[in-house]
Amino acid sequence: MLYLQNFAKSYSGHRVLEIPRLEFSPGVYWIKGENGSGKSTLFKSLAGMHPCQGSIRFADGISLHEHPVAFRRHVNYAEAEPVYPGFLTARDLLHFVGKAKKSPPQQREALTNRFGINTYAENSCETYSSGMLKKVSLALAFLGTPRLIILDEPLITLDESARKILFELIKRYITEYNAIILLSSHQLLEDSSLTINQTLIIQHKTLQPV
Amino acid sequence: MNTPVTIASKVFIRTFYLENASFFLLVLGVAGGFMRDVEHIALAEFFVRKPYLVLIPFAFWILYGFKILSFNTACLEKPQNQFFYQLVFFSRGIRFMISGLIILTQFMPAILYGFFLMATAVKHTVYDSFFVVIGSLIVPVLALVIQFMRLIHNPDQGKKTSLLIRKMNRTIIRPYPLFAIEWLSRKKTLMLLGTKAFGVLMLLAVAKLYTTGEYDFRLMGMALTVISGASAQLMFEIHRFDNHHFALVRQLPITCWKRISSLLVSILFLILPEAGIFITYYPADLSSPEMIQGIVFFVTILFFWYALLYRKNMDQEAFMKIVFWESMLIFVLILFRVPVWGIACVAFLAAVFRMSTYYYRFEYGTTTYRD
Repeated sequence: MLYLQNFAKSYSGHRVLEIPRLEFSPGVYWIKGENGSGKSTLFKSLAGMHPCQGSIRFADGISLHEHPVAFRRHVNYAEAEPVYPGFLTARDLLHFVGKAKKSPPQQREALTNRFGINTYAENSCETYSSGMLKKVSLALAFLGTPRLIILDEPLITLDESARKILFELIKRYITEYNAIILLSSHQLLEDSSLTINQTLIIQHKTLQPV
Repeated sequence: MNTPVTIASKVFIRTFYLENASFFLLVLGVAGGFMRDVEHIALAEFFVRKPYLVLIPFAFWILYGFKILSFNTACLEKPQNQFFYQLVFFSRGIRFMISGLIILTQFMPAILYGFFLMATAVKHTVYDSFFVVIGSLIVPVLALVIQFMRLIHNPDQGKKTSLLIRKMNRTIIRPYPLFAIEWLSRKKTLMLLGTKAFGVLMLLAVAKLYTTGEYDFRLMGMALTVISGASAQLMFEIHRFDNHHFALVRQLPITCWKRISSLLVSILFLILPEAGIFITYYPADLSSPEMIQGIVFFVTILFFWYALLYRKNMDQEAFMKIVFWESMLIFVLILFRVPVWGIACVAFLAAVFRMSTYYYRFEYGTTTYRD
């Protein structure tokens, strides 16, 4: 379980998002919202990339602000449009992030093969297409033993087979690790074979059930 | 015809001169500040005395040509400028004219100096040199125009990783502390080389200042302060890399001490040229513990500059102002015999405090609300 209480995010003193109270249990949550509504802001705040206010904690008490390292170990995030330094290879990234997330080499290798990254893992990121970059970012999001996986627009630029792999992985991580999946997508998820726990929408600077 | 010319001047010419303003100011400063009119004339006369001597300014023009080429390539790769590829729909003649106009305007400083050399050659009736100067100007301009047209005609040439690099990537996994250094060496090459050259020359000069009298370690301390002040811009770029270009690292479960130790390793790699010169040319009068003190002091001050950037968002100008005043303070402290190790300790503790207090509170540069 993940608990949000009095969550607030401001930019230059201007409040852009406020969530008084919200709970997430293992499963998939579809976060909707218009462009600019604050989906990525929410995701980046929950992932610990952007500072925010309020309490964000797991059921065992591990909290974003009180246990920044432990919390980050259990939260993985894949950006909508991932960009990595051009000289790094997928192998470098998987090794570095994998080590930080305490992911065993077998898991890294399995994810690399699953997404078909192994064919280009030794090439520099600057040579990748947007779809290839997306696969790398998704593979990174499944490293370790995440309790919360945040996927910002995971379907864009992704081919059909990679989508199937992604949905399979999501289902497996929910069953194996009791993972909470927060997912934003402008594409329809109804026909994705995923069971959606709840659909939420960011409207009027807050997140609420549809 | 007017529209593409206006667009070209805005995208390629104005931006080129604006982005390289500090470079041109430096060149003007060196040319105007250190040399008088007669010296300029004497230098030009030397260049045109023999045709092969024209190769000296020609070498500089080639380097300048590379600068233009790398700017134009980077400019065309930017998503906001990719509309310029539409130029391919114009006739070859118009494409050539627009490309020529862009290159000629960008190459203008070299052309103007070339005219000065030509006038000098005519004055001294050295017509061989006169024609060599013309050729030395035409060759890079023409090469740049052709290359520019090639870039326009072949968008998205696709980058490839060579077999050798792939083999290296297979055997070597880049350690994290080298990420920022590699990024600096690829993206901020001139800044890195310039700062390193400055540091090395400064240390050489200071080490050789008193070869006869007794050497005062404070002088070394002050030199290191100046070099660390100049290197602060590199720390600004590393901070930008860690929080913007590779912001992913903020999301990773890495302890504060690990982040600090990785940074210190990066700094150690970064200061290798200066450290090498410092150790090699270290004055014989000074002791080994002082030498270690000097290196620790240098590393610590760079760490201090980096940590300073977590207090609040600031642009390079604001940052360099703070660096200037704090460097002055350190300078005065050293002058008044405050031990260098003491300053290093205080700077280290302040930097650790800043990193541990503000790292997670810090947000890079975004003042606008974005999805």
